[in-house]
Amino acid sequence: MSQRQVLQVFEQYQKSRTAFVQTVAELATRPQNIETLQNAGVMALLRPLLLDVVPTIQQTAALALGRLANYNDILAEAVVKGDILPQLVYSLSEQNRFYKKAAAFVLRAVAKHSPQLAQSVVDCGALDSLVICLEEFDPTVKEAAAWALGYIARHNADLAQAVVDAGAVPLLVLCIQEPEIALKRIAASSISDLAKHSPELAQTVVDAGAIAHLAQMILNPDAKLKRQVFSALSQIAKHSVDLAEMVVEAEIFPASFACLKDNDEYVKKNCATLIREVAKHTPELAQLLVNAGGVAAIVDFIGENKGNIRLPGVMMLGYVGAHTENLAMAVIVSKGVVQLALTLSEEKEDHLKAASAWALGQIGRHTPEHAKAVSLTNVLPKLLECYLRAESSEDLQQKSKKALKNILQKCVYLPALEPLLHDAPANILKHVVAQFSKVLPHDPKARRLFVTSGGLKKIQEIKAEDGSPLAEYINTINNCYPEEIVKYYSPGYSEQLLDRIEQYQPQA
Amino acid sequence: MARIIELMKQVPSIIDEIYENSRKADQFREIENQAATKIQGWYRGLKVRSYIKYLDKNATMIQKLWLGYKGRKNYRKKLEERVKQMRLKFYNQNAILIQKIWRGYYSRKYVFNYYKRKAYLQAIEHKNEIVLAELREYKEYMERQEEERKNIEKYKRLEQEAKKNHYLISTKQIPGVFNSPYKPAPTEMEYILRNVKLDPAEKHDLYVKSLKANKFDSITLPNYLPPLPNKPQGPFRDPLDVRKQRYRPFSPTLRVENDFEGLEKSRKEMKAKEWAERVHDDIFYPIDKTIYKKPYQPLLVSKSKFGALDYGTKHFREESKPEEWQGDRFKSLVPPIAEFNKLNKTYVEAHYYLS
Repeated sequence: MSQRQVLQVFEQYQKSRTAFVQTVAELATRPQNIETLQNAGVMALLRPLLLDVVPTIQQTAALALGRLANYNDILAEAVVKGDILPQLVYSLSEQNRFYKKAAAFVLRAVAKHSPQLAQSVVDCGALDSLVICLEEFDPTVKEAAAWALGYIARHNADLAQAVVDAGAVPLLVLCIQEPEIALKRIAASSISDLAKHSPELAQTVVDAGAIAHLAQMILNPDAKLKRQVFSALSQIAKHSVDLAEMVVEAEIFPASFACLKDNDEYVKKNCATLIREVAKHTPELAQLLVNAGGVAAIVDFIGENKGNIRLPGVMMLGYVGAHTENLAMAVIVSKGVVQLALTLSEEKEDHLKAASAWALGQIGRHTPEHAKAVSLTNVLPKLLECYLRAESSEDLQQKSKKALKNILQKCVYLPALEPLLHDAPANILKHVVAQFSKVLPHDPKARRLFVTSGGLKKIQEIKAEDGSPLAEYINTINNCYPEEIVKYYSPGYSEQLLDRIEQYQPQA
Repeated sequence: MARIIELMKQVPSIIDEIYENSRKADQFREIENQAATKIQGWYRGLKVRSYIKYLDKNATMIQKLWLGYKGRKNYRKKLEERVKQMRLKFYNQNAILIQKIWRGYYSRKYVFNYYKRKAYLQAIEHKNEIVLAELREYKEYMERQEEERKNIEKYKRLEQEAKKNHYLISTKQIPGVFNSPYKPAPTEMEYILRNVKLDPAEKHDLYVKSLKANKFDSITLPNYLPPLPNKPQGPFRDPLDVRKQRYRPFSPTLRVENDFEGLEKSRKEMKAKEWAERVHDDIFYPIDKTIYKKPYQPLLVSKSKFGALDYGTKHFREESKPEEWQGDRFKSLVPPIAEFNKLNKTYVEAHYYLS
């Protein structure tokens, strides 16, 4: 046996190992193969290969593991149970960049599924190594590490705090400033995941100076980056007034209104979400947006889009309208109410209807002027329908009832109220009749119109308990008219007249 | 005596006369008595009347003065009242004015300002229009860009296609499939085919790719015809690299690009141009230079470092005058008492006074 022949055996072994891991990695890309692979005990076989002497085999094994773990949480749990993570973490700081990338991928795939799995990744001490990877020169490694950190942080505040404590934030902020678009994207997404849990975490991100860098990228041509940037900014702005003000101070308005017209749907949605998050805090912030023409942009945005994308826009209008009557008026003059009414009638899904009903209620509750503007778009019957429909969700019913109540209590525009007299249930009717009883004593023209349109008749038909507020309102209305007219329209009047004929004695 | 005699002679006549007289007196007594009574009556009447008149006159005078005094007093009182009324009215009016203005201001500022709101809403509408127009423009711009990108992509795809199918080009004798002789003009593809230039390296790549793509061919691929190497054999550089170097545009350095004597030349040129365009040889100054010779006399107002006077705008009471306007101040000739200057300046222990 020559030396060559001996070495050939090793070579062959190595070749077949390589072939094995490569094939497994390839097979793991298809979901239909996963179960078979699992049943064949792929985990147990891949684990020793992670410790292989040949770096390529190690990397490919890690890649295969990552793909498997990415598939579902059972496999991810199998990775955790197989004690693979400590090994990965250990080699994360030792090996070359390709291996690091693959290892970070495995960690990400494991952490993605549930908080428990992410916690187990953290328990292995993966955070420190991942943070060190963020300092790596290679952008792809940084990307993988940032991605994994983001997936760990997205589950809950504790995990996010752990990531922050590992010192990831300043490095992530540095990653945003890198020239590679992919890296920027992932870093922005991780920052978004970090900031979303609590004001303190968001403050940490802000203290690292993330806002200025994020704000620079809002007009970047890359749509996916813009999605993440807007998401991150809205996650930061959502917590408190201070943070929202910080975001606004980065001068992202009115530049970001342009993104409401983007081709990418998620960019539009996230941008609208950001605007909503800023507008919801204080009247001043909402005013700032209104003055910059944000309401018109949002109204336009609601008009151009369908379905779930316009939800943040609808909510933004509601928030702006809720702050002060001045802002609500601004929404009305920006034709926001018309658009909300359209949304209410067009959309099929209950939560969108509920959002627009809520927004309409917020806008219409300030003054009679507002209520009139809202009721002129003919939303009251629609709200009533939403409230009465049997298949409406509980939330929608509640929201539309509240909106109706809010608007009705201010509405003195009688033509809009009259249809409600005929088909409103008792608890809504109460408010409608109350409005009539407020207006009619002071308005002769309306009194006349009320009789001719059959309102008075309808009022007489209502059966109200004595002493209830409804009875009181009806009484007030009846007092505005001569007794004969009230009697004439009372339900049993014709019989009464006939009775009188019987009692009448002709004078001979 | 003669006289007496004479008189005696006249006695009877005298007695007669006396009788006559007494008779006459008796005769006229009644009349005279009555006349005297009448005269007395008249006189007394006159006297009393004049007295009464006098009294009347006095009374009138007293009454006149009294009434005048009373009247004036009354008048003053009335005038005072009237003035008071007028003032009251005036002050009330002004108070109303102030209150009106203040209430208006207050309610406009803190309660509601209709016109401001109206203007604000109008401004918002205006701003909205601007924003919407901008957004529309942006959208159009984006769409244009997208379309352009698609066009370029499409053209690239076609070009790629054309490179692959370059043999479909028509020749002088035989028209290609894209150049139907039954149609008035060749299709777009034909033009692309004509314009396409195949790079030698690319040509080879295409060849290799086509070999790989056609598996049937690869089976029958003759072994003796190896694919052309990408690189000429030997220690040569990459042909693409060489091509790039060969067709590299000429880029001289800045120093080589410029004329060596360019600076002098341009100076000369500038001078000549300036000389040619000059209207007059004497230098023209826009202002009369003699005025600089006069010493500058500052104005009193402009000299004052206090600037505009506050009097009349910020306050109406005269405050301390600026010193310039007061001239030299009065100075006492008596030397100051040194001890007094220390007052309140040097610290003295409290017990100093106590002791």
